Amino acid sequence: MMYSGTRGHERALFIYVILFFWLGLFSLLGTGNGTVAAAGIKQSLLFGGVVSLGLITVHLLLEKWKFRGDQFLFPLTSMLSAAGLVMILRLKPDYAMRQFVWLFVGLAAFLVTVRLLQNYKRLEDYKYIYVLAALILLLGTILFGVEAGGARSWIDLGVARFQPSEIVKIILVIFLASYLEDKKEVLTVGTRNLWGIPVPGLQYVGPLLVMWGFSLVLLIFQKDLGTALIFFGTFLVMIYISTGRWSYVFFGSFLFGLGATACYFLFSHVRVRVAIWLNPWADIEGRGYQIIQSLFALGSGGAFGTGIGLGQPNLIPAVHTDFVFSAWSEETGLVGAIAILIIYCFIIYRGFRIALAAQTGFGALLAAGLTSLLAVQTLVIVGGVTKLLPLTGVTLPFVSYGGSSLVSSYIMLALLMRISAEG
Amino acid sequence: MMNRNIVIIAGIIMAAFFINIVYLTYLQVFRSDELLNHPRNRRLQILEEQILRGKIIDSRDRVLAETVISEETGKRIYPYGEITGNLTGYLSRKLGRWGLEAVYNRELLGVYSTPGGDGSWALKMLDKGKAGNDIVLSLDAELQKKAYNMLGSRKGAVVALEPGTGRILVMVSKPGFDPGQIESQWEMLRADPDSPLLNRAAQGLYPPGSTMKVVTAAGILGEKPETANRIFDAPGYIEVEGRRIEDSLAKGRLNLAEAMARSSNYVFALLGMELGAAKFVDTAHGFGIGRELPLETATAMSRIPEAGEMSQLELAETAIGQGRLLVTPLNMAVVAAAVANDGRGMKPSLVDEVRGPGGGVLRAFKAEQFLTPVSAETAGILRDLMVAAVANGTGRAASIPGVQVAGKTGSAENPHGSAHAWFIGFAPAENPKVAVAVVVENGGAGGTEAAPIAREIMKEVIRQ
Repeated sequence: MMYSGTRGHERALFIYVILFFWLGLFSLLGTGNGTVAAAGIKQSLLFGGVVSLGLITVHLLLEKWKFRGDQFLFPLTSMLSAAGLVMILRLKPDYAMRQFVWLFVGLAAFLVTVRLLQNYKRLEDYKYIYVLAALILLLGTILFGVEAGGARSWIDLGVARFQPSEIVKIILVIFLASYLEDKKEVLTVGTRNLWGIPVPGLQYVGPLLVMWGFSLVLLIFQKDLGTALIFFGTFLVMIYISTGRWSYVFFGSFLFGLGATACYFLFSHVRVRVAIWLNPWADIEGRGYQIIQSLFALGSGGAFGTGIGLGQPNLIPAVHTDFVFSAWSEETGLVGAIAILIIYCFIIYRGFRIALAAQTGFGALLAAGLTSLLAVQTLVIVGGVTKLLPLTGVTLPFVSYGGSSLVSSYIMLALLMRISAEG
Repeated sequence: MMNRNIVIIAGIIMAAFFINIVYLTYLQVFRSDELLNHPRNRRLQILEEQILRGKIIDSRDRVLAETVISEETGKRIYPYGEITGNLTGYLSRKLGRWGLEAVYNRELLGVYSTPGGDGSWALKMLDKGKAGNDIVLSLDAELQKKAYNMLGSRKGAVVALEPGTGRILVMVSKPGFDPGQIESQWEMLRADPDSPLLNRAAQGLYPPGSTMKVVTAAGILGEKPETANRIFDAPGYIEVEGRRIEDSLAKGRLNLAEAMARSSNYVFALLGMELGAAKFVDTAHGFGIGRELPLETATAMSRIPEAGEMSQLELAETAIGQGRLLVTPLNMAVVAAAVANDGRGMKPSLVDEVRGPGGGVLRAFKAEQFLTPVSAETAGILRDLMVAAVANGTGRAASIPGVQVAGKTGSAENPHGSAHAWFIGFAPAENPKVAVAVVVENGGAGGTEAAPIAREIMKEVIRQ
């Protein structure tokens, strides 16, 4: 891919992003739903104007810095953020201002990362510091964490709540990329056969067991099944990419399955989750309530949706965080739902292209890891709200309400774009 | 090497997204209707409360049910109250929906969800200014009121329909109930031994008595047309299998017309037995007796025993409308209408059209034949027999000056007291505009109790 130095593609795509965003705002204004309508035209124009200006400023800054990174990713994620802002305005007007602020914090984090991390390859050098940082964050959460929505994964900082696992995710991918790049040769050789099944030699299983333990800790102490799934899924993807050995994936899945089964028998909350997944209709007004409300929203939306602001997605509890996708699908229908999924597919496609074009193994692994992380998280939550997978409370990247998630998503974006600039 | 692995992983992830899209399509298109209409999905209820529900009106734009907004909340009112209560049904948050309010709920709300799963119903409603559709009935509410009042304090049912189309003009069930008071009167209505919640006209099952003789005559005339000219020697009773059926009012030499006019039990019991159980039951089925009778609201099926289950005595009794035979007034109105319409039984119908809030017709009534009990020739003979019954027989009270009326009375014995008084008929005989069936529970003689009500209804329809 040739980059001209001026970011023409990005600028051209931004016309659609801004158009899309304003269309959403005016739809809300028209239906008399949400803060946009409540606050009146003046405030809405101000709100829309500031967000549009913010996004365009980021683009102009990238151009001013002659940043040579990917031109498609930022417009795509901006599209998602715009959809997210419109939906949060529509669903929970009280949270819209906070999300608005978090978006700017995210954009700032994005710019800072792009600007300061001139050479991403330096990240490779500090891998054991990452492990330490991740462990401290995780331990801190376990010791000082507060519980919300059934998962104990927040640290209360007074001003705002912060979800360390969102940062740990990124640290983990950077660590795995450098570790796997380092130990690739060792990991690739030496598998044994156990009853015809290839099993990695014991000495190479170490990192696998550490990751496994790490995920189980999340599962057990934080009751955060979703994040555990995302961590372990990303880990398996990265170890496969680096070694090309399915045996790691099978063995890892087997270990995870073993741990999950143990949890199923040890913890009632895991059993409850599974039971709800298998048949939520048995307890419509009780434990199955949330997922069934989500299914009602999806079904009621039909093929073309009710129109933004015209559905009843607020019948779903926690609609603005975990279920924003259901709300979006109710109001924009199957057409809108597929559109959002296709945007994610584009982002993932660009992410893997960046990995393929990366000059170093570390860069390729890091880009593929970050992309997989985003993909796995999206699949876990979209699959969860449609009952394809057991429901686990994780955010839809760039769309859901939630500061930590938004900021970490933008940092991941910055890393990906940095790698692409070197490619 | 690593690049190949990346491509494989990318492929797997894209496949996972594809599976998600397929599953979403299944949910949002193929299961859309089921999920939208699930009783626990509160969306429709929320929308219902925002929509100005359509009206139910009669064929002359008289309102039978409408929603009036007072102090921000809509109240459903039923101007004809208990007169049309059994047809309109009721609407209650506590008790749900019933009658036309239930059957035409979606039309009244203007909510459509196509089988393909089209979720844009909310938008469609906004386009129409949040108003539902009106349901226009074939009913004439003033005529209905007249029939209801003529029944007075008696229980019973009146059905009048157009023989040529099946359009129902009157469908009275007494006692009725006021849908506007349904919530406060519910327990009382349910406990009432007179069952006011039962739509007697379409769901009440009565022995038809002598009105059944029209069916018996239809059967024998179809089989042996020469019976029209046969002379009978009526002894004033008939003995079958050792049991004596009294017939004191029709003694002596009678032709078929006289037998019909004087309602001879002897002649029709005899003819029923001559026809045989199988052919008799076939004829009854041809008139819709023992078959599902289609209508927009609930109907009961008239009951006739299987041919194989009938003894000679029961056949004789059934031929004169007794025994285990039970019919609905609507069914007997359809019998009269089929004879009036040259042997073509039209499907009875209450709803003429579904009218959009702008006045456009969304769905219009189409007349549909659903029974062919007798040939046009047989229908012609039956008409003459029924004309004789009104002109100089038991049905004299139904005659209208200057109009030829065809009819048949009945007094159906039953275990609940005096006989049920029946009249079925149509007018004008040569060019029928209306067919009726009247039953007055425990009223006694059909000629004196039921025929005058039928006469007033027929007179009114012809006058219009």
